[in-house]
Amino acid sequence: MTPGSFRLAARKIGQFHEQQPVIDWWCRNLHWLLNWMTPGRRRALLAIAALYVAFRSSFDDLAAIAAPQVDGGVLLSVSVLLSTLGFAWFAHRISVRLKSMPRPQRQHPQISLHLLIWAIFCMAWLASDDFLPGRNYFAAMAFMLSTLAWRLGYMLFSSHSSRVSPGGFKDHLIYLFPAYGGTETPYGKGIDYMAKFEARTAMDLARSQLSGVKLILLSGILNVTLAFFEAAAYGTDNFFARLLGGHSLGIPELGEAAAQGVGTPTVLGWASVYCELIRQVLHLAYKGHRIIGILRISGFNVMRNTYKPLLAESVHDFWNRYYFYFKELLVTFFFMPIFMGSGVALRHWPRLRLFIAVLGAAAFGNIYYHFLKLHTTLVEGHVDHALAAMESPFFYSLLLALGIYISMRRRERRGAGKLSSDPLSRGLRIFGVWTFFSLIFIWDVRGGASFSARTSFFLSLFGFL
Amino acid sequence: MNSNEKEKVREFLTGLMGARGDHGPIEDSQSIFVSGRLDSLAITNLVLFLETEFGVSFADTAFDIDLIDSIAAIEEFVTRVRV
Repeated sequence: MTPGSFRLAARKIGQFHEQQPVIDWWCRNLHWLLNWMTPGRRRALLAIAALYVAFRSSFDDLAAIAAPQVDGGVLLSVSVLLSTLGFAWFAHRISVRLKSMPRPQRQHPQISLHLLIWAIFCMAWLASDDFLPGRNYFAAMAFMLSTLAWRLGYMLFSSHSSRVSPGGFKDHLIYLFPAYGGTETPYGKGIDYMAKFEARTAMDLARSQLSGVKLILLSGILNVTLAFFEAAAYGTDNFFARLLGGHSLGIPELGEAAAQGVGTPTVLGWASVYCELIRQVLHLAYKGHRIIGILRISGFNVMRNTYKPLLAESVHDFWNRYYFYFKELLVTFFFMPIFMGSGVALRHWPRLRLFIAVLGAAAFGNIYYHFLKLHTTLVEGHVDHALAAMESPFFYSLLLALGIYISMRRRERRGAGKLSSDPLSRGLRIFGVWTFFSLIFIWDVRGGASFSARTSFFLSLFGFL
Repeated sequence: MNSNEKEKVREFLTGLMGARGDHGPIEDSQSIFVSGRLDSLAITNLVLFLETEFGVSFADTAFDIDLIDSIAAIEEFVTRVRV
């Protein structure tokens, strides 16, 4: 077998979901399912599953946060479930009638939504200790709504161009309480975006499902790869660690090395930062592929969350490929409103306009997103703790914003000029992107390290400490 | 928006795509951004181009990518905001 024919065969296997014989086989054997799963039925099933997820969130998640303020039993969970669904329905009604709302809400629906969520946080903080049920209720609502903030935001966006889903509130439930999984970041965005990629025919559904099956398989492979990588690099105790007889490269995890500040041998320190990048990419890719895979099997052939970020040749390209739906969240809720809104004031300063928009999204938006994720600390009223926890992420976000802006400017300056395609130049560009993200992750990695310890670790990599 | 202006938009988009190695044709109704052919940096390029070339402003518009996701959508948007 020649290298050319081997590559062709490998490509055929990798792209099995696009091979017509495979699609025909899928259609032949699953024709009853493909014909039964009409768009209406698929959406109805996902909406029913969403109600179950909402039910589980109101019971399990509130119990899991284990804060004394939200320990209220079945009555609290039921009232929070009903109130959350009621709030979501109310937000949907507003999105339908946004054009007839008062000017502040009409012009700034997203800001109004976040002000309302913060008002509920305030009510939880101000509620008297003598009336625990009330305090617990507001704390639980603040917790629930802060996790839903960006999903509700996409719902409000659906009113912008009169594209409110014909299925009404039922369709919005699909992504408000996604049965396909996710975090605070809405994978697949809202129903408007999902609808653009929705399979209309049985053949479309077959293609979507096959590409979903491929992603689920990839997710499994990446999960196994991640387990092997962690065992081989860090000695993490798992199946592969036992297979390797306990041998590993003994590289320290970045979170531990950063918490230690100085003292990690330079070579191990550098190995630690690069390994963390690989680990983060593998982790995000396996998780994202699973979620998007389920969405595709359900008939929504949406974009992947992660697409070969380790091959990116520029910082902004990496950011596009690494965590697509988080990048989209920042672009939708921060970058675009700032960039468009500053069109009059900064029309003659396009670079400044771009810089402010990038800073607003990648730095401010990024920080705000992570601040809101600290809802467990926030509902307890420890705003000072939450702010203190933002010190390192703030620095990380600032560096990220600067990196993205410089990368965008370099891309613009290059215009139609092509980058050198020789392997060495390409390799150096990729290495530069790896190094940039590996280094800024020092201020982003979990592990409870202080800002000064992280900075000391960074300086020690260059022999300054 | 007359046909000359529409061709200007097409030419501009062809240039943006060409710079990214995409030399395929652009049909009027074909998605440009949602389909992933161009990224968010290209959105800013296109917005600046539309503001400069046609004098339109996005400041008072609730921005949605669908407004400029195809040549047909751009034509509709520019025509609407100019009135």
